[in-house]
Amino acid sequence: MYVIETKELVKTFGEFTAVDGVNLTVEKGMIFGLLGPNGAGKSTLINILTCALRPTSGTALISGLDVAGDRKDVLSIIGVVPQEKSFYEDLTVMENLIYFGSLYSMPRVEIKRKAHEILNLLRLLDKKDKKSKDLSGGMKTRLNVACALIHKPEVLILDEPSVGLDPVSAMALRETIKKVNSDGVTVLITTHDMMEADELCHRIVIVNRGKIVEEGTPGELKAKVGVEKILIKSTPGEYHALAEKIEKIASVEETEDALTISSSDFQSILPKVLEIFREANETVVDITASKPNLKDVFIHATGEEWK
Amino acid sequence: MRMLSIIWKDLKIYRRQKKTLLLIILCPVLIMLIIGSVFSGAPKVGLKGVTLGITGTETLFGQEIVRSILQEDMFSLTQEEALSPQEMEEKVRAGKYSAGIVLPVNETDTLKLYIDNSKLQVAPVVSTVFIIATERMSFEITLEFIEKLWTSLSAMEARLAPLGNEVKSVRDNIITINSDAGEIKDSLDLLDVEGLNASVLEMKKTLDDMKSELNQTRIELNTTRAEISELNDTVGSINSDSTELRDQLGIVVENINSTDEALLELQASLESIYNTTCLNQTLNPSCISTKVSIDQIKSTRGLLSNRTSKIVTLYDNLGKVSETSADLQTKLEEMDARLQKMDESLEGYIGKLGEVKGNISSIENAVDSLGKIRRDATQTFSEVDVLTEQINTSSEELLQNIESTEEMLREVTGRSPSSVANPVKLQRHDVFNARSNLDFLMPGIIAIVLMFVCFLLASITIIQEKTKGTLIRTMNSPLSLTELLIGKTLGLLVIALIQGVIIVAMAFALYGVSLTQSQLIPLFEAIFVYSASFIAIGMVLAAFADSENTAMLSSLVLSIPMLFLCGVFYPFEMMPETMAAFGAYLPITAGVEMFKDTLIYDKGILAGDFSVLLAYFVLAFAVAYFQMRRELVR
Repeated sequence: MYVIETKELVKTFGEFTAVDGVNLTVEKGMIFGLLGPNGAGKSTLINILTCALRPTSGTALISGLDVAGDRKDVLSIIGVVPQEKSFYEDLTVMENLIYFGSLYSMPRVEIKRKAHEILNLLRLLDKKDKKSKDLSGGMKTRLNVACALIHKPEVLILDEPSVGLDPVSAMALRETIKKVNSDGVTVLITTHDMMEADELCHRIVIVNRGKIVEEGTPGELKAKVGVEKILIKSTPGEYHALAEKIEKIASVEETEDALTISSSDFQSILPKVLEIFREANETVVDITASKPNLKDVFIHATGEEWK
Repeated sequence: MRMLSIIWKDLKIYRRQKKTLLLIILCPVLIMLIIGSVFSGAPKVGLKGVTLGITGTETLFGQEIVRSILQEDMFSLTQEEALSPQEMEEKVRAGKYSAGIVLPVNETDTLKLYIDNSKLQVAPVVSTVFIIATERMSFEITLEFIEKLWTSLSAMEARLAPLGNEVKSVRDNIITINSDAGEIKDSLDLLDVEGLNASVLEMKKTLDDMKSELNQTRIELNTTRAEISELNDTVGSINSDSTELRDQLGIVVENINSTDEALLELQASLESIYNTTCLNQTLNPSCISTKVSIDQIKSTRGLLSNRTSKIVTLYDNLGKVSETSADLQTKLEEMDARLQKMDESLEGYIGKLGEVKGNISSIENAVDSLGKIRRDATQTFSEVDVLTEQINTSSEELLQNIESTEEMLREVTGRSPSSVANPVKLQRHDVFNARSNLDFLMPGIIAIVLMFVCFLLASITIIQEKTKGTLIRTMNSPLSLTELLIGKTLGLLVIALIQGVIIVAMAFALYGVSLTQSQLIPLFEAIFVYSASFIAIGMVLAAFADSENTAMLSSLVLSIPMLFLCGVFYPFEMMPETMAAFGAYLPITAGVEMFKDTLIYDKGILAGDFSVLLAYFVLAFAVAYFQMRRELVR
């Protein structure tokens, strides 16, 4: 039995179809990533799963409960971590947890016990009596997650949690998610950060234009692409002229200060590429080789640029 | 330059917040439209619809008052039947009327005006206008009355002098009558009724004597007549005897003629005397004697004749006797006839005497009547004396009065009517005279403070929850939207109640605002329902707003016009009718009225205002609910 399961899920807004026949299954205990560019339909899907939107058609079940018909039950077994730091800054850490716990009709003692447990897990216990507005950015990020865990949810849903976070906070968030997951909570995360998804998720679906375009573990997805990339910087850097010549032998992407060349057979084409640089009197100053990533997977799957 | 950047940035942000931008433009427009509508007509319109109760309008004076008041557009008049001043005061005190008038039964009594002085702007205007109106009206009435009085008094004055003369004339006439009556009385006193009565009785007795004498005379006369008749018969037989004897003694007659002639001469002489003296007095004894003498002579002649010449003389005598007898018979017959006439005359006299007696009886009755008249007249004259004395005294007093009245009228009419016209006394009673102005402002203060608090807190806290994401997070729990909104409402109600307590406690403790224990529960019930309705409206603003700016501006757009339309700063009576009608149904107005009912009029919470606020709460709550649900669950 899947913790999360959608069948032919559709959500339209007028003429626009945000979610278009999505079939999704998430097994218990995993970190599941919804990856896609902005406007792909990730947030719409999340909103349906968190009962904020009613599906136009199809079904979405969480632990067997229909999000459209069993709203209260669904909401009591999921925890939602919004993008913004959504807690009350004038309340202390503990007060916030007690408040959100009380929304689930939990006994106060149980709330406190669970709060201690969570704060300990997220390394916030020593800050429990501190006003939330006085916490550091990383702490606030952790508190934001903690508020979603106070009622012991089966599923933790995070919608673009790392947006706007500094690298330290983002890292702290990832650690937190891992800890929560290790505590047995199934995690559904939407992100457009490939690295984050690659690092966190046990399984990923790539979403574009409301549809699932790829699904698998990060390794499986990257293996499907099999393309490596080489980033070459040169002087004087007439990349446009160079790109026109290289296009004939390999896929090339032009940026302001470099060319990114993709190929599954660099052994044969790399000398040709370097020859083109020489012929154009371009002096190569930097060559960086990279393995395929999830962005490549997206481009491979959709044939579209990641926006 | 940097400052310009700030300005440019802020303007750009406002331009992009469509609702805020709209409200930045709409806020002054709406506020000016509403406030302009309220105040622009005010100077022309003045106070209108001021509720005025009036009692005691049954009299003509009362109807005049009502007519005068109805000329003022200011009042909405209700006529109450037969209320006592206390009852009218209670009605004003209970807030039924802004002012109450108790008209006096008697025009000269004081007219009582009870004013609800808790209406700080209305009370002095109503008082002034009413005082002026009633005084003007009463002045008109009094002036009209006095002018009529003046006309009447002038006419009276003109009539008084002739009247005085008439009275004097009457008095003189009475004195004359009294004098005449005295004379009549004296005349009557002079009447000797007793003497008259005695005379009449004497006359009656005389008449009776005369009558009996006449009757006796008649008897004697008739006896005489019988005797004459017998004598006549005797004379007749003598005459016939004599004639027979003469015939027999014819021869002797001649012999004795000479003797007889001598006797005859005597006889003739006596008869001559008799005839001379006794022609009409045959009954006279001398005449009778004479007659007897004559007869004796005749007898002597007969005897002589018998003796001397019985035959001749007898014969002559007999001839003479015969003649004499015949003559005597004739005379006797004449005498009888005369006696008969005499008898008839006597009978007539007796009849006349009867009539005279009857007349004398009438005189007697007349004398009796005269006596009675005199007695009655004496009594009447006595009464006339008393009456005359009284009339004399009264007319003296009347004359004195007329003179003093004339003097007084000359003094009164010497003044102008307007100087006498005194307006009806108007007595003003402030029904809440023991209270301070803060007492009257308390309902407005509570209503305004709570309106702003509830509006702003409700809208801003929900907007903050929306913008910070805590609302979404909260709604991601099993909590229903209804529970959320009720929870929010109750939380804000606690704040509103605390603020209410602070305001009331400060007003009571620091400024001595009048407040009884029994007012506390209805007061806080009113605060509860009033705050709830504004919290719900604030939630509506928050539901539609997408930023704190929008919520703030929306609150201002609603609350500022409400301040001017709730009747606290600018009374309904001064607003144009449409704006007053609009303002009457605003929640702040219902709140102000409810607080007034509780704190000033001590009526507790009225169902009408409570229902208005409850309706606002339910409606606003429903709108907020559906708008937020539309946003949260699509």
